[in-house]
Amino acid sequence: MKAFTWLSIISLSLFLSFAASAQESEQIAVEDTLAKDYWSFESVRLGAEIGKFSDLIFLPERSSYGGSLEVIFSNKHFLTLIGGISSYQDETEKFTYDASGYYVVAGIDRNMLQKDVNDAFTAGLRFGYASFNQHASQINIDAYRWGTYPITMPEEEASALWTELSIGVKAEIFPHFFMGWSVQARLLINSSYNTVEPIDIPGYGQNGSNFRLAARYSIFYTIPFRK
Amino acid sequence: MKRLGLLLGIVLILSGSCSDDTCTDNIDTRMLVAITVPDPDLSEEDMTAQLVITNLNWSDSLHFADEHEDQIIRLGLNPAKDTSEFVLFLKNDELMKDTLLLTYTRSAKYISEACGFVQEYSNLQGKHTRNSIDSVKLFNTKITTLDESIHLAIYY
Repeated sequence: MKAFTWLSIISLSLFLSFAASAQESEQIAVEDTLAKDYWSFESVRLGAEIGKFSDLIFLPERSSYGGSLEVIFSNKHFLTLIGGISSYQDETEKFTYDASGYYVVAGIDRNMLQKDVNDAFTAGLRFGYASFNQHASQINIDAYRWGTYPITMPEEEASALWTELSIGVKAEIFPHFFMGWSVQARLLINSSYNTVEPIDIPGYGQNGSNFRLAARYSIFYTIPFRK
Repeated sequence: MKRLGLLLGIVLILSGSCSDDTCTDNIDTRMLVAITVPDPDLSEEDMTAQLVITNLNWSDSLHFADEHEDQIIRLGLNPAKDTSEFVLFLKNDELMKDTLLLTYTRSAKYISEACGFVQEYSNLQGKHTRNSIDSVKLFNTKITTLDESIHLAIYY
């Protein structure tokens, strides 16, 4: 069911993005894109992740704050640096766990829109790294015939490295102000810990699988350096 | 259209963030043990019908006849220690007991919020006495929730 939901999101997003692109093509004069220098420094875009608002509803255990810096080349290529801090606290019948740390994600995005508009439909490749401390005052392991065995984990350092493929859209809602979202297919390359596998990796999301789909949604302000 | 797409995307992403509250994942990390009786002087049927496995920490015993599937049983390791010691004997010959000592490394793996953690095992090694058991062979030294093939075979 979850896979279907995500498939629907990606499919609909692609459809809507292409539809938006087609509509704009009627309004904007066509440029000779082949002749354009796609690596001409144009502007810098600062962003703030607003995903924490959905976490309040869907994942109240997590509290995170993130921002981004994009160096924009001809609105075609974006060098992207994302960073943030995150904390996670969860208490169930089976475990009491908390963790906090930071993450950085860096990579490059390419704008797939062919026309010279300010908006973007991007596809990109990124690498992420997270460093955090985790602690579990109690984890109950249920083992057949052995009963329930409690584990206590003192605070320990952990880290993780992952890569992500990302597609997303950014739309200019006011001059220089943008709103956008992106979905990522994240692949956990390595996670380092001593005793207990982390529940939530800052910037990567909930653990339990080496592959996960995730999303970011943000607001942006663009500082133009050259027009 | 553009802004509609943006908003719809955000709404759909929000709706995709829901999580399940019930544990539906496989959380079984018991070792798969095959009992084999190649000795022509012994009857495999009699052996498996009579075989009992015990541990000092258990409140009951594992009777092979009651729990096997295709000559394979699931044997849980002690999640509290890096060793498990099992005593194996035949109900009709309780004096001929064998001891199987297994050593391993434990690590807790997170499954989901609903399922919590499971204990996984690696670097599995074994020693045994030779009263009735002829030999023991390890096929897989790592035990996870994903395993479907046997980890250890006991030959009589």
